[in-house]
Amino acid sequence: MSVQYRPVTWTRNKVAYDLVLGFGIAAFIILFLRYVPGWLESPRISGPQLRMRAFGTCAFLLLTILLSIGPLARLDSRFLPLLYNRRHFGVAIFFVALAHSLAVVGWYQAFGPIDRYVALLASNTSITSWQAFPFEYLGIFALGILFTLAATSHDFWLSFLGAPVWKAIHMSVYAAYAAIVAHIALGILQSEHSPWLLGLTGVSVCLVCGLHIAAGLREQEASVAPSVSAPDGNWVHAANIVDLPDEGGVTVFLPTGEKAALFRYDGKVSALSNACAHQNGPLAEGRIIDGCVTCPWHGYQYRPEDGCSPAPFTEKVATYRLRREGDRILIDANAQPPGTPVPPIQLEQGG
Amino acid sequence: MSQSSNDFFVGYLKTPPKLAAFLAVVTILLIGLGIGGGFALLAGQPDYGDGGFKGGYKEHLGVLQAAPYPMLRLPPDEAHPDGRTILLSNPGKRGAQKRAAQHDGKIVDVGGVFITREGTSLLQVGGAAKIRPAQEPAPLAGFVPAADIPLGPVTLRGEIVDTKCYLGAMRPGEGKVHRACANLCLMGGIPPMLAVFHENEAPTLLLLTNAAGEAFDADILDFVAPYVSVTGDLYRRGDLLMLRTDASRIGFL
Ligand code: HEM
Ligand code: FES
Repeated sequence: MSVQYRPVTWTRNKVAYDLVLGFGIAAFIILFLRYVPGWLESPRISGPQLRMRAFGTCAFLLLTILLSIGPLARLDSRFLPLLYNRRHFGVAIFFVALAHSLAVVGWYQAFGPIDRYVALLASNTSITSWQAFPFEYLGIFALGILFTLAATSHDFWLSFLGAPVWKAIHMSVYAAYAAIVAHIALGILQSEHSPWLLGLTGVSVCLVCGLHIAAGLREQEASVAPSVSAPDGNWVHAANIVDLPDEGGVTVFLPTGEKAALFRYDGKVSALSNACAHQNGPLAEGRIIDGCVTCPWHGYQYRPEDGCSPAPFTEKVATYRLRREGDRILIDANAQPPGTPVPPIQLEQGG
Repeated sequence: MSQSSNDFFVGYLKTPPKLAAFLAVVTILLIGLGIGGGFALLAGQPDYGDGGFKGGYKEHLGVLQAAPYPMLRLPPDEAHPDGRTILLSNPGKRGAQKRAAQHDGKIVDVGGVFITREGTSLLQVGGAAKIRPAQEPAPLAGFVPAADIPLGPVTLRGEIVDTKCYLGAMRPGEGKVHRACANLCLMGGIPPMLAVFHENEAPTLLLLTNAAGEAFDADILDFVAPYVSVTGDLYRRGDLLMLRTDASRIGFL
């Protein structure tokens, strides 16, 4: 959390993350340019074309990994640290993709009768033919999205645009991925007829789709809490007390379509909105640290009693009213405004 | 899932050791898989042939013909019983039309470097001579290049390429990925050819012209790169095969 905006708020983990990311990209590019020609049966490819392939392939594989991290972290919380600095990952992908595009424009589009950037749009316009389709257009579209995401990745834009708009913009990374898959399918796959190329593209698509479906199914298993009618609110079953993990969270699926995060701490139970005020991280997958609900994504913290971040921070999330009924906890599905104090449920000692 | 709170990751705190070890393994795996995957992507790459700039700068004496594309005609010799026809281009994605125009039908010196692939060549004009009136025209005095010999109608299948990149100015200078570049070359005046592929043999290359035997217009750009079938009339000029056709007789396969 930060009370003011800095270009980048560094932490030890972010430095390590970026170093590993940078090392991985550099290793990929260097090994590719240095060893692939010698290793191939037919090394007869021009240097600039090899560079296009190195950067293009690298960007595609990075995007595959990036899109796999989200669902992986939902399936197994040990992957959460990979998610922590995803924004730097995304910015890095933009630069690798930019290097790919510049290599293309500086070779395939250069030395010609018209300006190279005009040529990029004008040298092939057969948009109605799948055999001749200008697959470069799809690359341009994807690069545009990657640029937009990189340019608005900073927390300033997040609070300026508001989390829902920002999140919606960032969801377009899936459109970029789809465009890249089409870029490859309508471009190099039509040229090279290589089973490896086809196989690897297929593996990437299966991995990204498969992990998202698996993570989605896991979420589906949790059914919406059944209603219990009462005059003083929309009370629904939240959890059985025996099922509450100590210092951990439980996700409650409310009939309103929203999700609440139920936390047990210090022999008490409180409920907050599941959506972190930062980037909508799933608070129920976080932990109680220093008495505060701590988001699994970037560690923003909220007091369980009122959903407010401890001073000097000012973030707030919605809270929910709770009621005990025998061995279970009921929750009022109507959220209280962000930051509203709600008295926690007291469990008996050790209960 | 690991639920104990001492291996919960918070970005601004120290990473718990057990989690750090897990992450190290995952990271190494990801980098390894990424690099392996990258290599695999190129594994099935076809052979782009041995084309390239070859033989260094030389000057050639011949008769220049500017149409349908600039070319140099040379009299028959031992290796070329029908005489030689050498296509010309400028550096970059540009044809030699402008340079050639003023010398049409004259005996000239052309300086340049050959771009050669599997026995077929194109001369990139440049160096000291470029195209100039021959300094010693005597050896060609009285040489009249033979007229085009008609060989009849044909239907051929292959890929339309720009001669310069295909012969080795770029590798790959063929296929879908190269389409935009090839179109720029053709727009710049580089001659288009149809490459007809054979099982265990170098492809046959035929220069494409319109039905009147003149330079092709912009219609051809629609058909560059994917495999096409071309119907037309075959001609031979020296050792160069030429196919007269038009866009209505070209179709995707
Ligand atoms: C202005 C945008 C882009 C243009 C003009 C462009 C153009 C091209 C071209 C011409 C090729 C064929 C290169 C070759 O001869 O091998 C290619 C291939 C490829 N592109 Fe792009 N591209 C763009 C953006 C992107 C982006 C954003 C990505 C991924 C994030 C990407 C990923 C790839 C991949 C994986 C390949 C196949 C491997 C390769 O040949 O590099 N491209 N692109
Ligand atoms: S989403 Fe970033 S800390 Fe919660």
